[in-house]
Amino acid sequence: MEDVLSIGGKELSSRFLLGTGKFESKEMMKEAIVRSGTQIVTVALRRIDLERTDENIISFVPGDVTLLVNTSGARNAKEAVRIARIAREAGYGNWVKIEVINDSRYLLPDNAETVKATEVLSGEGFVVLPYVSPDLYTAKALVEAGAAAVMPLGSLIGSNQGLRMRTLIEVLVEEIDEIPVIVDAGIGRPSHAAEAMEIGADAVLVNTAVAVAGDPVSMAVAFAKGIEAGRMAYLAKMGRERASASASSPLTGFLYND
Amino acid sequence: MKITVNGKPVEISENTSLGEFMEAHRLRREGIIAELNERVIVRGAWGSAMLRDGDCLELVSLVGGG
Repeated sequence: MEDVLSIGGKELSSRFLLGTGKFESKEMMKEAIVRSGTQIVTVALRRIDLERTDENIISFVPGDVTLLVNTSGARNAKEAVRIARIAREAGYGNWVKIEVINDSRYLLPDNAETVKATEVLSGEGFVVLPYVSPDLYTAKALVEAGAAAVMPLGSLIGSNQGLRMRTLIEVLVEEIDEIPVIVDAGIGRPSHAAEAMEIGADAVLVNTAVAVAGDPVSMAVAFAKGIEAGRMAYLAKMGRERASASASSPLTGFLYND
Repeated sequence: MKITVNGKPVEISENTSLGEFMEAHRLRREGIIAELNERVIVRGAWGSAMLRDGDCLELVSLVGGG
């Protein structure tokens, strides 16, 4: 039986969501997308610089990849809703990552405003993937509000710290079974991504760790393998941790007399 | 007449369409989204969207992000 991830009516074989920010070049970003096997990439919406002529990022995203437009820049639910509507009206689909952030030091999401925006946008037919601090009651409210997934942060955006929020993520994995749990933010190494999958996350979203690596394309492949390994280990049911040793061979038949 | 473009005031002549404005400022390239008074105007309708005094134009596009 195939291990398929179902989100918003799509059946996905990759559990790796890739961000498109911070890449040195759009060509490199495109190759990372292709080599990673990702089927969902995030993008942001910004005012254009009237003085510059920038390349259109969309022309570097393969046609079969789903665009997940984030609402970065939104300071409250109203601004997040506006960004999502603009992206959809402009023809970029109805998948939205709600990101409502009010501080530039920690970039921590406003869970309450995120729930509000989720209610509005899911009511308008968007496929909503909300980015939040891992809080069980927020996650339950998001399920009620019609979210297509819940995306708890692993650690601060761009920090590469890994799963500092591990315990709370484990709570979400255990208690939320209606929608996928996707760990997003702070994942710095393939081993962090594998760890997230081992504890039962349904997918992970990585941006910084790939884009700022010395070799982003190889790093994207490394992450893809880590995510696959972690998922396989989870499905293969790992043995539990022990407080004392458990010998691999019998403690009898040694080559000496006692 | 005066309109606001990305938060800044810009002087334009009467009877300018959005299409003409975009052409004049070399903004016809792919990927630019125009939101006029909080409504997205699709590219095909730029020519018929007439700009009025006090209009608020937001020109945005998708960029890399996490």
